[in-house]
Amino acid sequence: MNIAGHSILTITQVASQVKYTLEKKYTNLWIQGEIASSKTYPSGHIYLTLKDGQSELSAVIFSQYAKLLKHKPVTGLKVTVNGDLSLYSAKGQFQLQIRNLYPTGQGDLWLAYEALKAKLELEGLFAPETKKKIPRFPSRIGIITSSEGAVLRDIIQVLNRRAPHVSCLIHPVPVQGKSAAGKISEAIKLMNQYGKMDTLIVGRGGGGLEDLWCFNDEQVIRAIYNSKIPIISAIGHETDTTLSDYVADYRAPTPSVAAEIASEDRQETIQYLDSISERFQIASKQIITNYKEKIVSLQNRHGFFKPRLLLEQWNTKLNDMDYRIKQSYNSIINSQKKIVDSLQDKILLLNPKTQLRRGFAIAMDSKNNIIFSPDQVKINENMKIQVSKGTIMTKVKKGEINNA
Amino acid sequence: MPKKQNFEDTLSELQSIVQKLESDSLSLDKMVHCFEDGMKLMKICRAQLDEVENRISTLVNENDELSEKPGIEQS
Repeated sequence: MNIAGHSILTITQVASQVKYTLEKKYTNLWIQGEIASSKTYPSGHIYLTLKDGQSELSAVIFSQYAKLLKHKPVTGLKVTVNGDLSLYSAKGQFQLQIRNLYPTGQGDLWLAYEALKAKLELEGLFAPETKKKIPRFPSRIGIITSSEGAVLRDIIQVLNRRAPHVSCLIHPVPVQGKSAAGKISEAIKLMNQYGKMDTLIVGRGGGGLEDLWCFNDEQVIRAIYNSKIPIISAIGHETDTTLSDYVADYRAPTPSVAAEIASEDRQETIQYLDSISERFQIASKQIITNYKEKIVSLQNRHGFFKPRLLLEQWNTKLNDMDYRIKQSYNSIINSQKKIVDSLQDKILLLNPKTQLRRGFAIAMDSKNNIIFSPDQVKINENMKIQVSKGTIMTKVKKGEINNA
Repeated sequence: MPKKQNFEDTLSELQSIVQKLESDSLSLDKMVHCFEDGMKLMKICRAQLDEVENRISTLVNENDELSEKPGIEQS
């Protein structure tokens, strides 16, 4: 719309333009004031009014930030808040959207805290990849804390129970007061210089914000970052997070947990050693078995197998030949024996005594010449006739030659 | 006296030896060596675990001379 050269805006247009300007220009403000009123809605959002001597400012803490607040925004509390300006269009009211709220005094501290955190984060001091691994099986643990108080006692107690084989080297330091930060960072450097330990625990018991503040000191943070020895932090209660916790290689919620993280339980370590021992046995046995199998398979290889096969073949051949020789030898003997037997039969038949037993007789002259023909003897000549059972003496009476 | 070996280092040496054994490409000779070395390291580890006394000492800095004193010294 346009009237007499003036462009006419709707309310919503004005509101959105103002909102844009506000959000662009008034972001990440730190504002100090007193809480004039405060109301928490069922949604979890907290609506409050801040004031100083002359002015008021309406503000909201959305539930996601309200949940994280360490201090309840009660009426009358002087606070430093951190947030952005915006416009609540429905009411045409500008409003501070608060992300963080600190009681005044602390507000300055937190401002410095946030600034340092942002700076160190940018430098990469909190990057996960710079974290050193905490050794699981340390021999010695360095402890930087107060020589009095529960922290040291708790850590030593846990180590005594879990890992009595682990020894401790203590560097006592003041953990609060003006000199604390310098002493703590010095201790971290000295422990690194001295060496001979696997892990460092930097600890402090719970306390007020100012008490823990030395662990937000830049020199402490840098000393932790530069430590060659992995550092476990155990500072304050679980809800207090110092920048030392961010930069430490591991953040333990309590000193006892720090001691547990720093050392594997002795029994578990022994069990682990046992398991390695078993792996040794199994692996060595496996290697020996593999070699045995190799030897057996080599034995069965053709090269080794062939000579034995040949030997066996030859042996069979030899046995066969032996058999055959024996066979032919026997058959020769047998046939010879038969010949001899038949000859013997013949000889037996030819024996004169055999003939005599059958009734034949042999005629002989006085000189024992066998008489084959009558003309071998004369009439009245003495002659002998041999029969089977004796000799008959007689005389020739007459001879007649057979006419053949 | 040889420098007392760090438990963690001894253990990681032990782990690498057992891994070598398990990779099974070892010669019999090397295997026997590995086995013997491993058993030696195992003994060292177990001996360290048997030191039951949780020894506590304090780092003392006297004129930039770092030394240890047994027990807990006040700062």
